[in-house]
Amino acid sequence: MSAETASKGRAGGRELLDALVTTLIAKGYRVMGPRREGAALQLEPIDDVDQLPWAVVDAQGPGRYRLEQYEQPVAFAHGPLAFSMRRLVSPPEERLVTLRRKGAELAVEPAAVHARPTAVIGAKGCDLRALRAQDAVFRDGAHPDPRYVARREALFTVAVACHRPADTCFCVSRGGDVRPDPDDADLLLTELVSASPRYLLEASSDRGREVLEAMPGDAIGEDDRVRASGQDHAAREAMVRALPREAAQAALLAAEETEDFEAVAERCLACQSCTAVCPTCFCLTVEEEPSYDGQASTRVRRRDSCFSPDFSYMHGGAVRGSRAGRYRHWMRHKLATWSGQWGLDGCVGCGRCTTWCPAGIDFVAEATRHIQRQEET
Amino acid sequence: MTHDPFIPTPHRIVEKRQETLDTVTLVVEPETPFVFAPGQFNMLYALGRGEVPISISGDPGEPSRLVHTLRAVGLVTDALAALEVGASLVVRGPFGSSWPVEEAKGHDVLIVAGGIGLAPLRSTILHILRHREDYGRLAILYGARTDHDLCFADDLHEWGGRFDVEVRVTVDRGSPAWRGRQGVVTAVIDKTDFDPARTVAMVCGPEVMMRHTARALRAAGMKDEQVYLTLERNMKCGIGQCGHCQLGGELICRDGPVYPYPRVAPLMRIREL
Ligand SMILES: Cc1cc2nc3c(=O)[nH]c(=O)nc-3n(C[C@H](O)[C@H](O)[C@H](O)COP(=O)(O)OP(=O)(O)OC[C@H]3O[C@@H](n4cnc5c(N)ncnc54)[C@H](O)[C@@H]3O)c2cc1C
Ligand code: SF4
Ligand code: SF4
Ligand code: FES
Repeated sequence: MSAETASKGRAGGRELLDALVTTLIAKGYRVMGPRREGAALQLEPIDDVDQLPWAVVDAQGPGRYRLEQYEQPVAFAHGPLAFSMRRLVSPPEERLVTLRRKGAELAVEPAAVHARPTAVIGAKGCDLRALRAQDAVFRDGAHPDPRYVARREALFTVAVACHRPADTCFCVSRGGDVRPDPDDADLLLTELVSASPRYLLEASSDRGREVLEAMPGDAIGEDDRVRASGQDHAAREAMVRALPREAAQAALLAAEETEDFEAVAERCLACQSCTAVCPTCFCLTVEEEPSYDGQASTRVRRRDSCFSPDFSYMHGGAVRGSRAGRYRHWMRHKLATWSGQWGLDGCVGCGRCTTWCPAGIDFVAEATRHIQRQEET
Repeated sequence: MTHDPFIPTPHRIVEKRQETLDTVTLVVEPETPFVFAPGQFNMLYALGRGEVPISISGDPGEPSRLVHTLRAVGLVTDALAALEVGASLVVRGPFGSSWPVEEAKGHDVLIVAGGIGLAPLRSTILHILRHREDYGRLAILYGARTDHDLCFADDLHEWGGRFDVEVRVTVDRGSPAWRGRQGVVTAVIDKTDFDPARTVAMVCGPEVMMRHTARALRAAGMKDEQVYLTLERNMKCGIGQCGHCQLGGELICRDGPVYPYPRVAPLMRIREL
């Protein structure tokens, strides 16, 4: 098949997804996709499209997540998965180096860098934009992290257009869209919803084109495109939540005092769930794992959270000692100070921090309070 | 593969000086010249305890010697201060911004330091002395808690003996044997002869001391834009990736630790930021 045909994409029924999984596995990728794990949909390894969450959707709200039956036999009608792709590029924990006593001196033993080629099927636009945020921190600065860079290069993404955003989603107001930016992915998948769904697959990278070329399938037709854009339009319309970028930034920059956050801090448990599920959060700590005899120690990098009091510890006390101070930091970082640090947005509007907050704190509602107060003054 | 910023380099300690009861200077001689700018810091590692940011206190013009001066105040610094000649000093760096030694060319330079805060400024002083003709007058105002807490005593004597440096040392509380000046370092600013219009001030010490100093310098006729200072926060990486050193939008390890005062003055006023 010619490259030109490949670049025009592929269309087909469920068998197109089958072919996609088979082709990716044949190319050596571990394939991951949304999969039901207990009471939630998670990003898990799959080797068969039957493992996708057919006719299963999630109902998300502040502090609420429930799986439900869906009327259509489709696989991608769900909202953001509990954990994003961040885990694949920045694992919760990894060894960096071991230092070992050799007489009076110390020897340095760097840990090996592992990067397993991994293909994610069903990457959402918000999570792909969040990867840009991770890239800015770990890849594009003055000190690229070789572990991150290797894993990022080993990550192949099949984006999916969202046709049924969760009630907690607000990506459009954050400059994102239900249709992912093709530049953020290798392939772009559209699921046309019906009793017998149809799939469209388009390539936006050389790697993506290679995969597509190895796959059978029909050409994408004009009616396919019309249906796709109709679906996109309806999904955008369905997303009623919004947190406008400029207004939120201005309001949070103005909210400097911890007093402004005392009410929400009363409810906040400082449990770190929000920073754990947020796809853009990047904070880390490095801890020691000494050997039993004290002759060596391994330095392990672990996910960290600004909600931990130790996070800002300095001579005998935490800088952000109060929960209000820590909540202020989290919200101002996401919505106000991030762009100055990294030149992009700290919140992609995935809504996870709201869904997974055990206290049911609604991030958008809290930020909106600051916007309203700003408008009143 | 790209260089791994988390892999440190061990250097053998060749010299150790006890500055005060709890402060030591450690000197290593790296195999390849260690190039740095005055004001930059390194992450120093103690086996099984962790890493902390420590400024480079040596002469940038002598990259064959890498010098740190540190005060033992806790878990990691206690272990570092206990290292002896022959042991490894494990180093990652250099990181961060530097004092404005280029911008200060042709100007008078006023150094105001408190306690261990003289460490990062010592590298600047040595740089200025090495390029003495590029700068105008140089005044060093140094304050410590007591006369037993004065670091770099030999240097201070040497600088004080030169005709082209003005050195003023003061302690908060002198011991009975102390015959020098007593009082806070900000009080010495008034007594120092400098032309506010053509001076660049570089300040390092505890945050309250720096705030008072900035106020005193303004009272003496200097503009905030002529004042530079360094900030301190918890640091786990030194390279803008761990998030610990944030002060508002600033990543102090990457954007600082040396800042023009106006950039951080509003942030220093906000509680718990
Ligand atoms: C840019 C920079 C340059 C510095 N230069 C010097 C120097 O030249 N000489 C010197 O003696 N000290 C310097 N410090 C302060 C030094 O880093 C702290 O004294 C040291 O981190 C204390 O660690 P500890 O484990 O001994 O103390 P503990 O009190 O046991 O601290 C535990 C941990 O908290 C954090 N922490 C505690 N205090 C500080 C602090 N003041 N700053 C940052 N993190 C802290 C560290 O992660 C530390 O490991 C500098 C700090 C910064 C940010
Ligand atoms: S702040 Fe909340 S909504 Fe925004 S990206 Fe993070 S988890 Fe998603
Ligand atoms: S400081 Fe807090 S909100 Fe910001 S990236 Fe780190 S954990 Fe997330
Ligand atoms: S020390 Fe890690 S971001 Fe600054």
